[in-house]
Amino acid sequence: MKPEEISESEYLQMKAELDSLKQMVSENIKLNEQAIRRLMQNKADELTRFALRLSLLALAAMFLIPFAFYHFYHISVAFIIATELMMTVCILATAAIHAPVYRLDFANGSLVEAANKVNRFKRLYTRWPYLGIPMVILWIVWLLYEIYSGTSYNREQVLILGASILCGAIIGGAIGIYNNRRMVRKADEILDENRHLKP
Amino acid sequence: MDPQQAFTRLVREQKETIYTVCYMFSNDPEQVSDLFQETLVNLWRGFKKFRQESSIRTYVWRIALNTCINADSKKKRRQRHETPYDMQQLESALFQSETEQTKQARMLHGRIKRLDFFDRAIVLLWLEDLSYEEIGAIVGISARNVGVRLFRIKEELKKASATEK
Repeated sequence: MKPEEISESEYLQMKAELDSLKQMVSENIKLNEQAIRRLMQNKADELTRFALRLSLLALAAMFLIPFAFYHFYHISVAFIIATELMMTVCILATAAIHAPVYRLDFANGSLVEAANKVNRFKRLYTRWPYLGIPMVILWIVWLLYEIYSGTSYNREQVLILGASILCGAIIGGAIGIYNNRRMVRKADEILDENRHLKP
Repeated sequence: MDPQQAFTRLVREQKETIYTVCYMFSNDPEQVSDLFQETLVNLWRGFKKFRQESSIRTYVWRIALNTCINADSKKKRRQRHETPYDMQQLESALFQSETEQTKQARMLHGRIKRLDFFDRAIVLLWLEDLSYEEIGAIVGISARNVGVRLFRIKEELKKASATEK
């Protein structure tokens, strides 16, 4: 039973406006049914293909980067093991953060449930830099030390290599922080909306 | 019936509902179009798992609302090589023309955009004549809370109309 306070005329007015909109949509939107079928065929597997590509890339990086370090730069085994551990942690953390969202069932959960899951995912994203950034800084410092002390390059070559590594770190860091901030902003929007819903 | 055929029929029958939800969560024609496409993708993803525990109408509402509420408004536009719909005529009618129909649609949009996302969802579901229990099940609050929210929403809309006059 609707509360008596809700005005019937306002309801009817809004209903008429809604019906107007729906009629306009019905008359003016033309569906391309063949394109819908192609969308079904592509999108169904897109997530799986993306996850597979990412996994292969991660595995390739885990093998090739330490191999390159050992073979070309004669970097210590301890550093290579640490690098492997760090990449493993990063890959597992990324999978753990993203998995709930990939499994998100918009069809059967409520709006609040879905928004909370998405929000939890994004909150984890905001906490990740507090671990990730110190880890990467330590790794870069260690790498620079390994190159400086362990290789047979002259000073100039070491400086050029070091500068290249730092450039890559700055660019990669800037991209990572930008993406992270974007997620944080969206999480805040959802948090605000959700807060208003509580009685 | 083949799932793809069934899905195509669903989109044909529910396109007004899907587009209405997308329109109520954005005022930018490109963004509305993006939301529409994303909703279709999410509808298809859930379609095979759809357990018939709720009606198809409720299913479409859940997906459309979830998609719009959780969409990233600043996400870069996808390149659209082929879209499953032609929206030029609709966009022209809705965003550029000045017919009585268009004015009515924009009036509704103007009222509803003042509300936060979940309140927009509640109002749209209420206008679709869903019961408080159904609205509560979709949103994730009790039927009683739906009634309370609707009362507050109505007060907000009244204040907004009075300010405009």
